[in-house]
Amino acid sequence: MARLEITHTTRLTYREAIAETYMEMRVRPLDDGGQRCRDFSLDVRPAATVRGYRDGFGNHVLYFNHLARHERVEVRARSLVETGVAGGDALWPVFPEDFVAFRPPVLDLAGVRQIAARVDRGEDRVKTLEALTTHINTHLRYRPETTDVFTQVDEVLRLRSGVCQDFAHLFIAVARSLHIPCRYVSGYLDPIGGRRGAGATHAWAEAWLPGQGWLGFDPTNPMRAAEHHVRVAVGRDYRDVPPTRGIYLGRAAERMEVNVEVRLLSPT
Amino acid sequence: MLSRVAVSLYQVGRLLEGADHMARILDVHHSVYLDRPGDLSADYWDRFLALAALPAEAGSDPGTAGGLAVADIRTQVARARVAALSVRPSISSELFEQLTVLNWNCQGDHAQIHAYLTGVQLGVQLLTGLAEDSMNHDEAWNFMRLGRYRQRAVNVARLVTVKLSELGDEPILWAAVLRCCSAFEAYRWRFSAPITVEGVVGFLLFDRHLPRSVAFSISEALASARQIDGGGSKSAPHRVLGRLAALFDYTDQGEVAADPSAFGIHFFSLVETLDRTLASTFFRPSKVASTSMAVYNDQPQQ
Repeated sequence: MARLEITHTTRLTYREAIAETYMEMRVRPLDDGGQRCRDFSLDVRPAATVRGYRDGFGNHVLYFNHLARHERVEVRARSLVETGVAGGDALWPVFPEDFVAFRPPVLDLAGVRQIAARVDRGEDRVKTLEALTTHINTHLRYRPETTDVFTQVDEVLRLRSGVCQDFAHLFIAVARSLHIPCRYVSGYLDPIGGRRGAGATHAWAEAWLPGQGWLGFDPTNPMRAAEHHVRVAVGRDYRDVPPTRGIYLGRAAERMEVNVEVRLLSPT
Repeated sequence: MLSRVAVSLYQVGRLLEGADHMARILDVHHSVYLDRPGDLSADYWDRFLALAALPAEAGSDPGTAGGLAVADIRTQVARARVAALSVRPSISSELFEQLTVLNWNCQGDHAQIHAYLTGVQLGVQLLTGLAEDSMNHDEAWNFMRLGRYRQRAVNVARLVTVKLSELGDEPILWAAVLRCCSAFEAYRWRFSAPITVEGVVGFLLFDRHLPRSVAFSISEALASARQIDGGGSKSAPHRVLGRLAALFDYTDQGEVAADPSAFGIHFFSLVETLDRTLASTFFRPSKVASTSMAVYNDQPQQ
């Protein structure tokens, strides 16, 4: 079991005043899949009433409105999470069939099927997925700022580079082309040992296998998702689970700064 | 309630009702076609497609028309499930799981068309029952119900007004119209007299006790709008539904049979107003959405 403390800060600044900010946040860690969120707090500035609901995948969604004029928004989420624990919120029904269809940015392409043919280990699905994790990590370069949040799998294959989001999308596309239900996981990663993905939120993938349930694979690092990974939200792809998503009224351009600090408090 | 939640629930109600109606009218049209192939006009299936508001080319056969209608059923059920998925916390697990089952079954083989269509109808009826008995009768439930009864009123009004302009006074064909609304047996229990045009029109449009009549549907939609408003002032959709209810209270049934198109124009223009006011009151109330100045700010991951 590991205890991790996470501080996730998002700062949005604008050159001139804007109004009517509406922001949805998926920043509260989940209480399932071998982890438990022991403590969570959220600080929003300018001050606003934060409400919440759980979306169709069981993710905690927090949201607020700020109607008055403002030039800056700051959201700070603090979590204390235990990973590697048994049990959890198993009551939330999930349907693997929701995670088999293709839709942008996860595309069914010839390049995707070629990778599938190369990593397919037949009946041993776990070996197939491990081979896929290694393949993506070996053949793609981890290069921040070559892609953006809208990048699709075809672009990732063309560039042969990207960040965790792109690696996860390609993993999901290949798994789905092998008829394995696969979903996107947004979360945090303990950066110990120089793992990639520090300083921002991280993403990896989970594949569903009969009798084994959801198994996590992180093609960015590459490794099986384990105690160092903190799951915050799951969805079909990034579009279901951005850490923050919002709209505002105004013409001013936005500047976003994100800082994520993950501290390991008590490793096993 | 968030506007996106309200609109999704409303759509679930509308889409399931739409799928149920499509399954029933296709089933009845198939039965009539098999029973009386020699008596029907050459454009029978073209007229069916026009009634179902599906794209038609002249000379449609039962296979083409049936295929289009089944595709429409599949789309409506799949969209209902996606809408339900997006508001999963607002509906019961039983309802969502059964909707998943229906969606799965709908996407399957429809070679045995009668069994397939019966399965769709029973599936939707099961969902209606689950919504009734496994959900709180709160705002979410009322938005679903509002969608269902709005769609039912439109479907039945369209069926009656179209058939009034197409059919003569042959009782067998009007019995089929009743069966399109699951109202044949209810009609026979109510009236001992033979099936007449006036009787069917009055029953399907104006009856206060038939759950598929337009008047009943409007009355139930009005009840849901009243619940959504709570004790406060009447919202715009509430007021439009009140006007629709008054239309059925004060319209002369003979006038409708004599001039169905005038009644149809009046009714559907009020429904259009209802849709517009629902959108502006509950579904897109924010000034942000209409100004096009809203900018997305998704946070990147690394």
